[in-house]
Amino acid sequence: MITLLYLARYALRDLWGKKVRTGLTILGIAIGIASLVSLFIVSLGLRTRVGESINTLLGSSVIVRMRNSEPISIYVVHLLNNIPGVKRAVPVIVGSGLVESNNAFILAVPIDEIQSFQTILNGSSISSPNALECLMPKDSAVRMGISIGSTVRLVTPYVQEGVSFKVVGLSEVGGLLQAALTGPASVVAVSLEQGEKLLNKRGVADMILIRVNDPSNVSLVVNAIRITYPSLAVSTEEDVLNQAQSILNTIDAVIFTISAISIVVAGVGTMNSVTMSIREKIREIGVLKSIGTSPAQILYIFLMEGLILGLLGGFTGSVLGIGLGYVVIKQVLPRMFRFEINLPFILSPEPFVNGLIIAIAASFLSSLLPSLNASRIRPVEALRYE
Amino acid sequence: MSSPALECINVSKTYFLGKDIEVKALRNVSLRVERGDFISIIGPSGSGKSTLLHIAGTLDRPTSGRVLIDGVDVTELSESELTAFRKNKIGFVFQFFNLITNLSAIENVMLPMLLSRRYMLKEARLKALHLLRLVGFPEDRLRNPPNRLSGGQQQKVAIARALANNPTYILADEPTGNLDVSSSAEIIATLKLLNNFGNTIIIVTHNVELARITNKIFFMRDGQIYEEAPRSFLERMPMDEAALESKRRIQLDILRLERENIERLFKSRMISSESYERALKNLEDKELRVKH
Ligand SMILES: Nc1ncnc2c1ncn2[C@@H]1O[C@H](COP(=O)(O)OP(=O)(O)OP(=O)(O)O)[C@@H](O)[C@H]1O
Ligand SMILES: [Mg+2]
Repeated sequence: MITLLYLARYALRDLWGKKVRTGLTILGIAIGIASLVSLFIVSLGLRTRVGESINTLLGSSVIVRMRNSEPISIYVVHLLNNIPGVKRAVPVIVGSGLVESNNAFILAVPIDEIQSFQTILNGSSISSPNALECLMPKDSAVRMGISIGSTVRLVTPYVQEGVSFKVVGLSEVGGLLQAALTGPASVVAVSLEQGEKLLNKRGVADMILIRVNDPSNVSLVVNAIRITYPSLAVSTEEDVLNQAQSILNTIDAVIFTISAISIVVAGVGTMNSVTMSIREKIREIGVLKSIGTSPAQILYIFLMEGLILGLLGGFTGSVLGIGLGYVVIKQVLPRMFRFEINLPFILSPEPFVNGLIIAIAASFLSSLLPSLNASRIRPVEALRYE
Repeated sequence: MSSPALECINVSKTYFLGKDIEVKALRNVSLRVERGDFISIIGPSGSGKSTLLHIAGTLDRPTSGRVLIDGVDVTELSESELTAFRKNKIGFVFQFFNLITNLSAIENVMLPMLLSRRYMLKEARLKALHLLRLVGFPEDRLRNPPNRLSGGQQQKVAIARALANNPTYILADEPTGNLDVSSSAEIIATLKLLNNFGNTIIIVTHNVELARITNKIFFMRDGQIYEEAPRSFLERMPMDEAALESKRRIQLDILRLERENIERLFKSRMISSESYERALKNLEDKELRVKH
C-alpha cells in the first residue's frame, strides 16, 4: 500500500516537474471533455423542451392530415366529430405571409381553441370569429415596436393589398416545435374564419386536431379513424414524439461524432505526453528496475500519470462544459436565430460524471500502450541508453 | 559459511549484431566471490567488464554458463523472480550515480526498502538516515533532489541506496569514474569501510587507487578474465580512529534497527522462523566483524 502511494507520488512529481507540458495536456483533455459535456447538456435541454412542447400542444390529442398532404375538407371535421370517443375535432389552417413586411407564419383556429395553441402573456384573446383581431408573439412585437392596440397589416399571396388587424394580445414565443414547423418566422394567430379568407382556404383545413373524451381511449379512437378513413394520416403524441426523437437522434449522432473526435484528440494528447515522459526516463526506468521495481510497478507508475492527467483534465473539462452549456443555452441559442430558442438548463450530476468517466477511460486506454512498452524495457538496454 | 555470495561458472555472452556479425563480450568467464570479499575488475575498454557486472546483477542473462547467487542458480529464473532477487540481494552503484531525479536524497535511499514491502515508512526513513550518515552524506542535504547535490554527494546517496536492503553483494561500475580526486578518495574510503563492516563488494574500475585497496584484483581482456598475482601491498586505509569509532557506532545502530525490523516481521508472521534464524545469524556475524 505504501509502495503504491509512493509510486503514485513519483508519477505526480514527474508531472509536476514539467508543468507546461502537463498543463497543455490537461487543457487538451479539458477542451475535449468541455465540448462533450456542453453538447450533452444542450441535447438534454433540447429533448426536454421538445417533449414539453409536444405535450402541451397535443396532450392526449391526435392530429389528422391527408395522406397526400392536401387540405382536408371541412366536412371531414363533422364526420370525425361523430366518431365515438371524440370530444371535438378542431380544424387548423396554417400558411405563410407578411406582417408589416416581415415574414410571418399564420395560424388559424376556432377562437375558443386559440389558447390551447398559444399562451397569452398580455392582453386578451380574439373576441369574435369575424373580428379583425390577432395575437402576436411578444418578442417580434417588441422588435417591430408593436404594442397591444396597434394595427398591423397582414399580407398573403391571396390578399396582396393586405388586411389590417388589431393586435389584442401578445403570446409567448413559440416553442421549439413551433420553430421547427414554421421556420424563422413569428407566428400570428387569427380566427379560423379570418384565416380562411387570408389564406384562401374556405371550407378546408390543413390539419385537424382531435380531442378525445378519455385519454386512455386514444388508441381506440385512432384505430376507428384509421379504419373508417384510410386516406387520413393519424399521428398521436407518441408518433410525433417518435418523429421528433428521430430528428433528435440525428442531432445526437452529430454530437456524438464531434465528441468522439474531441476525445480521440484528448487521448492522443495524453498518449503523446506519457510517451514523452517514458522516452525521457528510459535510463531511469532501467535504474528503477535495477533496484527491484517490477514491470507491474513500472506499468502502474505511467498509467498513474495518464490517470492523473485524465482526472484533472476531466474535472476541469466537466466544470467548463457545464458553464459552457449554460452560456450556450441562456445566451447563444436565444440570440443566434431570428426566432428565439429557449431551452431549459438542466443541472444534473450526469453530464459531470459522464465527462469525468470518459476522460479517465480515454486517458487510461491511451496511456496503456506506452506504459506497457515501458514496463517491458529490458534493464540493461535502458541503462546503456544515453 | 556455506555457499559463496556469487559464483559465475563458464559464463559467455555473445551479442548478435547481424546475420554473421557477433560480438563475444564474455568467453567462459568463471568467478567466485566469497562473503566479505572486496574485489575489483580492471581491464581495457570493451573487454566485457560491464557486461559481466550486468550478468552478475541479473540485469542481463548469459548466452551460456550459470550464475549462482547465495547458492541459488538464477540462470533460468523468470523476470519477476529476478526482480525479487535484485531487490533483496543486490545493490548497484553506477558511474553516473543514476539517482531517481524526482525523489530527494533520503527518498532515494528509502525506495528499495519500500519496494521490498518489509519496512514501514518510519522504519525506512530511520534506516535511510543512518545509512546516509554511515556513508558520510551531509545531514542538511537530506531533502535535496539529486540535481542539487554534488557528484560526490550523489554517489554517497547511491551507495546508501545500494545498502538499503542488506544486499548479498554490491556491484559498482566505475563508481569514481565521474568524480574529482577528492570525491573519489571519499568514495574509496567509504567502500573500504563498508567492506570492513562485512559488506561484499565487487567493483569495475579504471582507478588504480581504488583497485589497490581491494583484496583481489581480476583483469579482463577480450571477454576473458584472469586473476592477478596475489599482491603484497594489501594496505589498510589510514583512518582517523575517532572517525572510525563513530562510523562503527552508526553501523551498529543500523544492525540494531535491522534486528528490530526482523523481529517485527517475524512476530507479524511475514517471514518464516527459518529465515528469521538465518537473518539473526547474519546480523550476529556482521556485528562481530564491525566490533573486530
Ligand atoms: N547491447 C550490445 N549490443 C552489441 N554489443 C554490445 C552491447 N553491449 C556491449 N556490447 C559490446 O560488448 C563488449 C563489452 O562491452 P562492455 O560494456 O562490457 O565493456 P567494458 O569493459 O565495460 O568497457 P568500458 O570500460 O568502456 O565500460 C564491447 O565490445 C561492446 O561493444
Ligand atoms: Mg563499462
